[in-house]
Amino acid sequence: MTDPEKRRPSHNLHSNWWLNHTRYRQRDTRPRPDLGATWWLRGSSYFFVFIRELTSVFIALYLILFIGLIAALYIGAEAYNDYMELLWSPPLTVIQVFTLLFALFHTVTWFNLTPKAVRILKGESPISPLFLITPLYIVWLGVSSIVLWMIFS
Amino acid sequence: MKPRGSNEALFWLIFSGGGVVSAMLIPSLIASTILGGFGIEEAQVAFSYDRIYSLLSNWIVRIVVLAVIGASLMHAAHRIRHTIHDTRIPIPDPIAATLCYLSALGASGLAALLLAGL
Repeated sequence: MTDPEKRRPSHNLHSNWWLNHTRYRQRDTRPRPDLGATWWLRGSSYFFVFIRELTSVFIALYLILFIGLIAALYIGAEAYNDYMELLWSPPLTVIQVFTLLFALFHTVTWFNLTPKAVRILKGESPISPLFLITPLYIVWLGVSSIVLWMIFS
Repeated sequence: MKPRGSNEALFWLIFSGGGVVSAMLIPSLIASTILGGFGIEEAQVAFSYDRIYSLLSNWIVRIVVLAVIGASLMHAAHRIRHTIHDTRIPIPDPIAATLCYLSALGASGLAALLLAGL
């Protein structure tokens, strides 16, 4: 905590005149109430943030499956064929479908967040977020096409 | 007090890089391995041992695959570490962080060894 003595008077929460006569609001540094372990049930925006973070669990699990594929490839043709049979079995196909949905959610939320993390100024003001988001989607479509073309052509 | 955020910048750089890599490449990767599960024969032929082996015998492909695995796992590790904290799972952060990052590094190392030995 900052020592109240060291605060500049105009930044003090108690200086009503200053607060009432400017648009500036001091950042509230008082400790926030702990929302507990179920904060993500407190509304859709909390829930979407939680799902966004949860996508990483599914992506990590999928990558472990994918490392398994490389391991099977390393062991030999027979192990690889057995592994692909497992990967294409109904339970793992369902898991992969859910993982794909989570991965797409990660892609969309990540691209849409980028303008908030990367601030590009044109003169004094930031450029429109669309100038950053649109190229990301275009590159994504290009990269995805290359990957699918390499595997399936 | 301990100075905060001394290694946070490095982790954030890895985190954001991994976020971009997994956003760009993971959906198409999953889409490619899913299709065989729907009984699409062309997809199953595309994933035959010989085809995938010859695809991964290219060193550039190997390096890209390893980069995707490593960066995405580090990204996921960073998010899982914070999710453990945010959902109040009672694991102290230093332990959770060590477990997350070390398992991501370990799995990436395993992938590197397997890819190098193909």
